[in-house]
Amino acid sequence: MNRKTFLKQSSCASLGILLSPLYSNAFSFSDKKDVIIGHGTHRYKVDMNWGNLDPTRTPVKDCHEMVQDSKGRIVLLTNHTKNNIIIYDKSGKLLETWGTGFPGGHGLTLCKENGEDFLLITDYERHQIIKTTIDGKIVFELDYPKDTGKYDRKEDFKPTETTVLENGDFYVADGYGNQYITHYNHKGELLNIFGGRGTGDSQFLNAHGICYDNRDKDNPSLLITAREMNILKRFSLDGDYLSSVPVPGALICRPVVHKNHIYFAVLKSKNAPNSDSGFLLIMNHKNQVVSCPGATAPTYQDQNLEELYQTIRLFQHPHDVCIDDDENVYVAQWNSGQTYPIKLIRT
Amino acid sequence: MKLKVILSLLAILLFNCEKKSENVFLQPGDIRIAQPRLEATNQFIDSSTYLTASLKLEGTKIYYTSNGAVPTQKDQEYTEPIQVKTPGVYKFKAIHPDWKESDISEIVFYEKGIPIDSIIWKSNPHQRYSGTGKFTLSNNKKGSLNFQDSQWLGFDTIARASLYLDHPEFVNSLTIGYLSDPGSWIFPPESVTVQSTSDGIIYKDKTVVLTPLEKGSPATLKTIQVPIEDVINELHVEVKNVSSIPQWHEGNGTKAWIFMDEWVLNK
Repeated sequence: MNRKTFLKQSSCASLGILLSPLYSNAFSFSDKKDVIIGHGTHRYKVDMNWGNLDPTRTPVKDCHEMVQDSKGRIVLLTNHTKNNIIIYDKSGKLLETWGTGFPGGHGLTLCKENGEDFLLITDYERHQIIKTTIDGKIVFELDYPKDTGKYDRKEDFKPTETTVLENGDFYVADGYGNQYITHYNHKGELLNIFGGRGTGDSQFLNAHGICYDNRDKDNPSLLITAREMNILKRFSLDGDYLSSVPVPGALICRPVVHKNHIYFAVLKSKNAPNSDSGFLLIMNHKNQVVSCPGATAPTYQDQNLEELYQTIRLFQHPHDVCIDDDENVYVAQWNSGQTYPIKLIRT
Repeated sequence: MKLKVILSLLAILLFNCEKKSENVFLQPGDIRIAQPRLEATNQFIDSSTYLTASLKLEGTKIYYTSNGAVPTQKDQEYTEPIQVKTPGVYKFKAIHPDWKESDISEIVFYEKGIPIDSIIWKSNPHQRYSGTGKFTLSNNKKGSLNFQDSQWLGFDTIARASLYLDHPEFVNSLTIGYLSDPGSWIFPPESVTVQSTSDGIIYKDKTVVLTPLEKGSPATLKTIQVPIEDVINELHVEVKNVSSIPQWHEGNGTKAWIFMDEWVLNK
């Protein structure tokens, strides 16, 4: 080998090292191809390493829910009482942690008041809803709605989710308790109660998630999941039942409205032989399922959605999704072996 | 020497590129595909039954065996519903060119048993898990791995019942179908005791004691076989639940559930 050849080859090698992150998939000696999950317009690459932290210093138990705050940060709620709230930037870098008092920390909702961020946390072990500032100062704690006469004792109230209107009114779904939806004003004073356990149109089995849907500005409404029934139900803000959208086979957790679509983590597939059979589900503005990352492609026969189920064992028990301002999705999982969230990059 | 330096540089480059690509995005070879879904018109064979297997993932092929062996790509490929005429075990596996192959899904077909003419329960299932009523265990229908399906009777106590045949018949054995799902606190029975008779005077006793469940056992459908080998018309069955859940389980020290889907009197 002459000196010219050596220099040419070594400079190519140097260039390769410097640029390897950009060109890593273009090398012919690597037959790797990135997984793309989902269907139609909603397809994603999967980053399993996002947000991984040292579990001895910043542990998680179940990762229940995630939201993005006004600063663009990703806020995670876990029921690990060493650090109930973990705040990341979008790249997965740890920014801060707080909270040691939420052993049943489950529901996490962002509310904005006069330009300031607040969090509503539901805790099914404390049987309470707790409002905090974004850095963890308690604003109020709300106990079970005893005066409604629907609850004999506080243990019957196991709230799983909240949602907030523009005027500060908020609703609470008691998905692990007596299955009522309670409506409060911004001060936490009770205005209404509806729902309850049962299989009727206006009732629930596992009223797990609730979401304010103001995509139609003239007819804002509430979306509430009946997870065990595999049904998404729509109610008026006054608590009147309006309609149902069946999602056969999908145990949908909470609805998350982002732009024109509704996103769901699906805890598991109803008839799967394995329990860790979850996936994600995305509906368009007509309530049609358009993409199921990790599961069967949604198909309709005579306008009826065919049963959905997990096809690849990527997700275990996905419990919530957070869609950021880049259209990427963060997936928090329950009972997944104390793993950190997964990030999906929209392609 | 120069050649060695170049090779070393190339090796470093190769290693770096490979590692980076693995770290950034998930690769298909990292993930297993789901097991094929199985559906049978009946698991108790009278004349024949049809078995279908499916996994709606493009590019997937399903292979199966009917002799209990682990299926591979060399075995029969599933292309249409299978007509099953004899008892046995069918095992299926899904294989995809990109993803890791699936776990095995299996289904057992049983010979239809001697009809049980009446059954008298001495203890009751829990009201939430009372199946389709008192004949749930003799309706020729198997339960699924979902303990909430209507083919399961769930007990948090000892299950006791008496079975009667209108006319004495030779019964080879009693098969008890049960669910083992420790994640849901459902354990195999501790023991099964059967008293049989054809005259109501002389009774024969048989007890089968099961080995305790080990840590990490997945949810499975199982059976216990209790030998009878006699002409009988009356059978008293006692299925004992685990009285103290083992140390490795979060429910240690408390009693376990038993879930049963079918009792079969084999000819």
